[in-house]
Amino acid sequence: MNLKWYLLFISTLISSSVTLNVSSSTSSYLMLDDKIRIKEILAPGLELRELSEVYYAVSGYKHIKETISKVAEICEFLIKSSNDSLTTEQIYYLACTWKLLERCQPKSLPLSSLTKTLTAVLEQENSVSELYYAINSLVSFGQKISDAIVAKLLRILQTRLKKDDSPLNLGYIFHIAARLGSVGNFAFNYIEDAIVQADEVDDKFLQFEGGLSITSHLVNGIFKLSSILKRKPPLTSHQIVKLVNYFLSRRTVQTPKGAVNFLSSINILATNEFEKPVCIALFEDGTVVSIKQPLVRVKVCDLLGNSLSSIINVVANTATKIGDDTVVINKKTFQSTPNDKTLFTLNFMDTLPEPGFYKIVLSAASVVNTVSIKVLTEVKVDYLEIGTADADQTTQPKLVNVVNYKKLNGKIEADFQQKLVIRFLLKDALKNKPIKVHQAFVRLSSLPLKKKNREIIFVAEVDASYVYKFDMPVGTAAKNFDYQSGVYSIELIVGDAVVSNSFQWNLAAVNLKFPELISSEVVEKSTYKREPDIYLPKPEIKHMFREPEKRPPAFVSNLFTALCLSPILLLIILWAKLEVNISNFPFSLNAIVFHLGLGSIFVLFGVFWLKLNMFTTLRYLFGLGLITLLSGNKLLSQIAHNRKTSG
Amino acid sequence: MKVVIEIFACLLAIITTVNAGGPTLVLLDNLAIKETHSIFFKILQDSGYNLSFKLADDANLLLSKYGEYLYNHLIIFAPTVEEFGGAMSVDAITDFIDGGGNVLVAASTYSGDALRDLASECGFEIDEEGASVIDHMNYDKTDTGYHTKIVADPTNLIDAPVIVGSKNIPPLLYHGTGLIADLENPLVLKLLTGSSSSYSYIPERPVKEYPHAVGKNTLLIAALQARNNARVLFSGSLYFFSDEAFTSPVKKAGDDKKHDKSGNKDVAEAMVRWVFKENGVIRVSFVHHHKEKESQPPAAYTIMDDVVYSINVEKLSGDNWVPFIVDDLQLEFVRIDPFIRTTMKHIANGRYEARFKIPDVYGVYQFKVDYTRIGLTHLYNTTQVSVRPLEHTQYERFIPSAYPYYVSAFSMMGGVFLFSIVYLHYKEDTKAKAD
Repeated sequence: MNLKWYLLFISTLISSSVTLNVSSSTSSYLMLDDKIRIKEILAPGLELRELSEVYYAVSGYKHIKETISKVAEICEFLIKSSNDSLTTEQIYYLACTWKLLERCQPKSLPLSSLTKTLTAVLEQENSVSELYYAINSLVSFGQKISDAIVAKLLRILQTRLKKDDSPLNLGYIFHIAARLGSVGNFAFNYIEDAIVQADEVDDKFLQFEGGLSITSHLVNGIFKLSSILKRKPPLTSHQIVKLVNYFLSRRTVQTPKGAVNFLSSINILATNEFEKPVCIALFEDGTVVSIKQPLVRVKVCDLLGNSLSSIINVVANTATKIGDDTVVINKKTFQSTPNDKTLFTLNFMDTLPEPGFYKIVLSAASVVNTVSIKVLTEVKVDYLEIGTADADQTTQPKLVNVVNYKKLNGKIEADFQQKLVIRFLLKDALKNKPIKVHQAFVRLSSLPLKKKNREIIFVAEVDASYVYKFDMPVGTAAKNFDYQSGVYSIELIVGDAVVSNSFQWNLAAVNLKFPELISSEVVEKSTYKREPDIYLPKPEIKHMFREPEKRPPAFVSNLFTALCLSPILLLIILWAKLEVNISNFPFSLNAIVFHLGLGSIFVLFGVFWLKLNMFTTLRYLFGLGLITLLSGNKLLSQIAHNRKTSG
Repeated sequence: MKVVIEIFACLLAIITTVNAGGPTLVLLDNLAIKETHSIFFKILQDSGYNLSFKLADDANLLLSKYGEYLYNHLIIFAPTVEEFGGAMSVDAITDFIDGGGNVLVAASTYSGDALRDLASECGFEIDEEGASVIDHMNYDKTDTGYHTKIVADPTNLIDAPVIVGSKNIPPLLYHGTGLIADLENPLVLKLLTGSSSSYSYIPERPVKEYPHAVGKNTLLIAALQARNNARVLFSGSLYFFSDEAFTSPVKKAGDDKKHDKSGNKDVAEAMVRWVFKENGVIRVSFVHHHKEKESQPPAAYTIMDDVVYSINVEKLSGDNWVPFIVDDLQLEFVRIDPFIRTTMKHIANGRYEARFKIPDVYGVYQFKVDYTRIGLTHLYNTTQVSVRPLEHTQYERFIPSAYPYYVSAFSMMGGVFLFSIVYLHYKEDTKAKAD
């Protein structure tokens, strides 16, 4: 991945230049970090759970030349597993592990029965993968393959080749053909067929559909076959480099199987006798050159990081600055380092190049590669002035100088009729020459005391004389600050990719006074511009119950109650005083019923008030009223009659 | 019996699709991405996602069939795709989001038109072609180019553990373009922002115009939870999810502290669990309301009744729903406008309760729980009740200030009663007669 990004990055840089360099070397090799990482991935396989995992671990360890500690236990595990009923694939893992370990005692292995199974597989029309596993297992066990089987295999393979020329199938056939020795010659012609199926990615990688496992399988097959037949595979050196690039880009592989695929292919490619890919790469932090570290360090090695005897000197053909194509170096030889034969150095700062990105075309023997380096410089602030001026530019700005990296004492006051002005000049500290930088920003931030930490960033403009200017009319900038007057701190941020000391400098504090918002703007802002944050709890609402009407105090109502009662009380008292005589009361049924009736009508009204509804009341009232009416009529006529007789 | 088993199997199928995991379509620029991002995909596969990898310009891409979506989730790790293949298009993806599907998208410095269109549909904007987030103060030591491999401080992550997990992690590695969010869109969440010194611009060109994203406004990773709870996550960096970023050590240039491993894996894992709705999913399981001292809801409430409302809220945890406990769940009592809004008390096991007095205004009301918090699905529950005025018998009967009226009425009645006796049966004093 790293490589891919890196290359992508380089390719974008190069695209602007006229010639597209096809490098004939890789830019990376199998590094110690990779070995350590891969070892971690493989290590669980040695816990002896699964044959395939054990095989990957053992094979991977062999590739990175790690010692395997518990050989005896692994052997025991293999022997134990060999008694189970195994698939051909499992036997293959067992056989290969067995062979890789070398130190296992073959006595205890049921070799004859295994060989029998494997031979049986070869004798039948099995799939190529089965045949591949079987033949490899047999060879690993040191068994000879009879000529009859070889002849039969040849026949099968040739028919299979015609039927299916997928990379996977071809890969298996190449591997089997390699095992068959010189008779495998027939497969060699198909290598070209396989190669044309490869996909090229970004002009940098060559891979087969299906990823690492298929690419690795096929490439290993091709090179194994070629080395057995002692014929150079029909691959150009560019194609080999692209294949290697692909494998190296997969160095972050995470599965044991992938790791072994990666390692085996790198190993095969690194050690093949036809064309060994060369790696020309910048060594560690050699990509960044500055006055402190002026050396461009180049590592020239094979894929495994070993030195190459064929390469004795490295030449920088050209070094051009990216952007304006100025050539700073032409044909300069790197110096070799005495204690590391792979390392070559060149003092790049000799020529005092401008800071920037450079592309160096390197050649070592016949191999050419392009690397990109960066020349750093240090920036210093020549002077910096800050102050205020009238926004309409009638007066000269009043500016004060700020000492480097110190904060200005006191506060700058700026109201909305003024503008804030900063002027500064940046210089290359080495050459004492004004420079431009990529990032020259002025950041105004509200002091952290406030709840909402607001920051507003402006870009300082640079003029032809390299002086940076920052003018901020306070009135027009008010919108950016949401009209929030107050103290803001001013910071200058200066940064560039070719500057080693990018800085963020707190210059001063400024008290900005913005105009008051016009009321219509306030309304506009408050109604729909400022939607409350929907993710916060809303304010609580309590219902305001209607206030009960105000009532007179209890004393007043009690007083009036008493007043209202007073007539009847007075009546009773006076009657009592007069000793009112009601002895005319006739103790007749009518009289008693009438008065009781009248009384109960009044009581009924009282009950109506407290309890009953109108309809029940009317029902009761009808009964009571009728009785009272009849008895009253009788009573009155009786009284009238009495009066007449007495009168 | 067979039918029962079939029904059971159907139910089981429904249950499994509801929960985490499920079919996921992964669109890639090239198949190498599957290998370079293998740790990320392995995390997903290990948590039960069924990933189908396709090239983004595959001519047979299909998101839905007969109106049914074939996938629950969509991952687009294809920054450079200009146009999707097959039946896939930006419209199809927005329909997928409208249908509740979740989408994870990673862009890069060179993003294709397809992603730009998709981004603007979701309320973001991807910075112009070639623009990278640059930070000259916070870049990784291994960056020997334009300071575009930046070290993002975990403190710049959004304050929502449900989305990004713990903030106490090593710094994050980021290499990619900046995103710009529509400030007016409240549904956009800024998951990761740059530091004050970062900006997004084309590294090879001098800064002539104001960069599209500067300082803390530089969005690195943004997300959107749509109103239908579909989740969309946009990262400006595909590198962020790569094996390399997951396993690389982090060392900020100019800072001596070295971290053995970046925090990318932790954050990416938390984010993907969120975006595919393993985290931050809540629901209402039970709602009940009644008058105080009663237990069943009445046909209608009367104004000024004391009412008790309770609700059970649960959240998804793995395959189970567990009580969801917070302290800011609010209940509204709404008749067009809310009349009452009160914070509910947590009683036990995700059960919340509110007690209040119904307002003295009658009408048709709703008990409404509307809980929107960053990272959680939108919880919305309403229960409609009617509130009627007092019956005539329910008014106050003995008003002290009306006592004079009561007394005068009854004294009048008593007076009539007494007077009728006296008047009818009065006997003239015999003495007076004698006079």
